[in-house]
Amino acid sequence: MDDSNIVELYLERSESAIKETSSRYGRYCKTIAMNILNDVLDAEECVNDTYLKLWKCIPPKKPSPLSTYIGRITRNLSLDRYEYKKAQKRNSEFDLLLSEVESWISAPMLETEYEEGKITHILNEFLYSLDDEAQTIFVHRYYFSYSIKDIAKMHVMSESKVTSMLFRARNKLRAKFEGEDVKI
Amino acid sequence: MKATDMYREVGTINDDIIKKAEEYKTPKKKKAHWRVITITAACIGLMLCGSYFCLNGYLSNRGVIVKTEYVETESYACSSIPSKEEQAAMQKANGLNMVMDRLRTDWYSGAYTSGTDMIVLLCEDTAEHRAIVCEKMKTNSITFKACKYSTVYLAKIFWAIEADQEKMLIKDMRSKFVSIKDNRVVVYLLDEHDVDTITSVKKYDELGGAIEFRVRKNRHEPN
Repeated sequence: MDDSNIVELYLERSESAIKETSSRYGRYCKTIAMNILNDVLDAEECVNDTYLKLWKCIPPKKPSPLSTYIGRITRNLSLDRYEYKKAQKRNSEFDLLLSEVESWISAPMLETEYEEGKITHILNEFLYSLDDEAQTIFVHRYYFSYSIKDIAKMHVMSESKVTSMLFRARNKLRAKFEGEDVKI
Repeated sequence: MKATDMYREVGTINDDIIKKAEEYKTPKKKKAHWRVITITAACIGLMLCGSYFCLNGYLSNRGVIVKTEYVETESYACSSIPSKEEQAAMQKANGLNMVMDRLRTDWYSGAYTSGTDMIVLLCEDTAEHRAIVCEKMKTNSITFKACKYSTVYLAKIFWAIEADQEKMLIKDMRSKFVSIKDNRVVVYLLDEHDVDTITSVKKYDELGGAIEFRVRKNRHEPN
């Protein structure tokens, strides 16, 4: 069943919509959630919450493409859960990822609030400026939250090469943010 | 702005960028590196071998001379009928050939007659071999000639071609026979440029030069 048929099921309020979503995107969502939470039970709960949120959002929304929409929901829900559980236990891999994200946030940015969409615009510009491989690696790391090890395996390269590519990308992004003089 | 806020912002990047990363597939070319090199090397090797053998076949075929025999169709050429003495000599020669064939020696190359004279070909012309022949024929009036190929060798070529013809591996051949006088296997082709048949036949001649190719043409037919 393709994306448009699944969306149709949601619009018709058919209960098989969730079943079909699960069979098509269950594994995809679970990977994203696991990359952030590093806990099977938490990840499964997040995936179930994703289906519930989809049920609530469609209609009125008719997302296209469905995969990125579902991915974003899972990602945000997983992050919420991560922050909620952060005090109790730590996910060292995701903590490392967040410390990397922090590295491209300059000191003035920490104190500032940005106008809506501004950061997204800069991020998009920055990503389009990268070559295909660097762009994909960046998204795999900071959107899908894959570990360095997994990315190295996926791209058939050494972990040190992935690390150095991400390091260069972060520095470039940081310079871009500083150059844009973004006010938060 | 905290790291988690920035992380959320990363979640708002354009769909096409996400989609591209989502659909990314691990390249297989690096894994198959050595396999590709091996296959490529094998292919190149095969090509080289193939071209070598083709070239070899082509060059060896270039050395083949196909004799043309002109046949009279408007009148029949009649050879003279052998006399009783000549027929008797021919029978003796045939008898010797049959006896020596059974012995399967690698030095005997056949007997034939010229008029009433008996001529025996030996590819190993020694006194010992001559003595054996004379003893079998019970006469010393035999003309011995040295030649290159034994009847065993020529027969081996003949039967190998025969077997290929039975298996339909060689189709475009008119006829063949072992010519004792010429010490050759004579093969009549349908087409003097039939390289395939020449190659198929020549492969059985390990010593080389034991097969003579001929074509028959009607003298009165336009070319």
